[in-house]
Amino acid sequence: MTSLAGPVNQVLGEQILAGERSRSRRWRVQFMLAWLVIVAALVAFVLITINLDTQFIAKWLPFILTGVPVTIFVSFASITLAVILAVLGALGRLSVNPYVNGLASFYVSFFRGTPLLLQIVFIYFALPQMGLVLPEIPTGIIALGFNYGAYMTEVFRSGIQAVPHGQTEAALSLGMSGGTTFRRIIVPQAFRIVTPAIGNDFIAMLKDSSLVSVISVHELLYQAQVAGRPNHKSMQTLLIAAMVYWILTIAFSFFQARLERRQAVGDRSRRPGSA
Amino acid sequence: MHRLASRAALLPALVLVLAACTGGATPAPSVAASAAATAPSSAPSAAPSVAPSIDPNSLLGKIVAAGKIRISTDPNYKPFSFQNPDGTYDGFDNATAVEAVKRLGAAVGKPIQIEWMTPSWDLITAGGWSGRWDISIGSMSVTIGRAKVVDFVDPYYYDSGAVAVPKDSTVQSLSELNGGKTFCVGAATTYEQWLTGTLEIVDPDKLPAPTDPQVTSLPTDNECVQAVQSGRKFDAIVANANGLADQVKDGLPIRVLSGPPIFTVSVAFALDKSGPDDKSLIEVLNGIVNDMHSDGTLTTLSNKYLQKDVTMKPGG
Repeated sequence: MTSLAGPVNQVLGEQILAGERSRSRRWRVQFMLAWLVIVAALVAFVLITINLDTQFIAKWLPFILTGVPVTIFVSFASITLAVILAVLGALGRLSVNPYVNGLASFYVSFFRGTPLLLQIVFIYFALPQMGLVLPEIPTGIIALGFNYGAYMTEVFRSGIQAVPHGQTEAALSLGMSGGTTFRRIIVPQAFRIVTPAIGNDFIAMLKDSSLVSVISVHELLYQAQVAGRPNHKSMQTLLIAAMVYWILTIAFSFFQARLERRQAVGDRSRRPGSA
Repeated sequence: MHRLASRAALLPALVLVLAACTGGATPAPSVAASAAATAPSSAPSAAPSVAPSIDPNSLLGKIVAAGKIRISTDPNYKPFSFQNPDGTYDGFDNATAVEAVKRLGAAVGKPIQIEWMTPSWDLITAGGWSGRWDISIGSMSVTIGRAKVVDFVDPYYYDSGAVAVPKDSTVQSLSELNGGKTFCVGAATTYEQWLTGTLEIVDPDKLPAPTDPQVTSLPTDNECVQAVQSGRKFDAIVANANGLADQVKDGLPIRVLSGPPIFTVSVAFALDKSGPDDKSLIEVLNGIVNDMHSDGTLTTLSNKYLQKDVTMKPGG
């Protein structure tokens, strides 16, 4: 019996694997098909409803695209500031010191409790009155960073709290100090938990960065509007901007999925499409 | 956790450091001082030379020291202010600004660069600019409300408002728009104020607005025209007569009601009342604007961009 069991198991195993592979292939083909049908319908709808003027688009496309590096720079700088503020904010929210905790919860309450557009205009006019005359782009980055930092503070706090308490106890009983435990044991696990949320916020940031156009930052949406309005072709220029935003978020989602897969190594297996 | 708390206390310091860093690293590609380069090159006439007696703390002093003037404009208003595909600023307002700044440079004996700023229109008319920009050269109509927050230079042209209806509308006169009709206007414009009954202007001859108007305010009045183009139903649009004429010329499906303008108003450069002392700058600019009237520069620019002369005060 033992002499037969090996080859039989191998054949059975290969059959199961082949079945799984073909199922996953079929799933991917159907997935792509669903996308193709929707995109084709969308393109058809656009071609029928909007009288696309290719000459106009060719003339103004470079002008509109000059907003793309501004959008990307503002978004990346803002999310970086937001992450720093969120880490500090989360530490503050978890602190037992009443003043630190009070400061952090005030920050979250205030910046989550007022509209982002209001904050942008307010910071734009308020900073110079405090003697700090920063150019428009850094001003916009500060406004976006503080606003998103407040939202992400709560994400980071819940990420840190989601690491089981037993991890801290185990590390402490091994003789690690509180700081080392936090750095080496808690933060790596918390970071993996909050990565999807950071990615989500970054995608939202890419689009909310358009709000800083009210303070003279010429990002993608602003460029599209200035090209469209005087030529009465706003629908076309806005469509271009929409496509660019969409492509940017798709590219970012791709990198985010890779990062999540890398972080998941050694944890749980993740199926394609479940991210 | 006590250690974490002490780290969190570093928050404000870190924020300041970071703010300083981002300040230095910004490419700021958006506001390069690109001039429309379309202004006629008539030699500046005898503008008053004020160079020796400029107070360094005045707005004029700051501009001369920086060699740069920051002008707010809203490039959503062709043919007054718009951008070309290469990013340069163009239009009647911007060409006027380029010529006026050239003459300002001649008057103070130092060339002045232009930095264009494009904050949204409602921020410009609200005043309280916190020194973010020096002057508005962007078709700001002189109203009594605005004069409380900004100082005006002498008018450089005269604007009139007009009412347009969709091309297929049967409306022929303003009186047919009484009684709850729907209107579309640009936000924070004098046309919105006229409709809502809050327009206070020095210039006389204001027609009464339609009764009980249902007003939709969009970011610029160009959105109104495009809304009608896309099939949205408004009974009428209220906007600048020249802008509407330009849109009719461009083939948009609207018709401007004939008859006298709904109101005529002086249009002028504006400076922030809460900013540095602007008296000396206004004095120089008054001289420059009056010179540009008398030597025909403004008329030439008006004819070029608007195909008519809007620089003469109506009725004298």
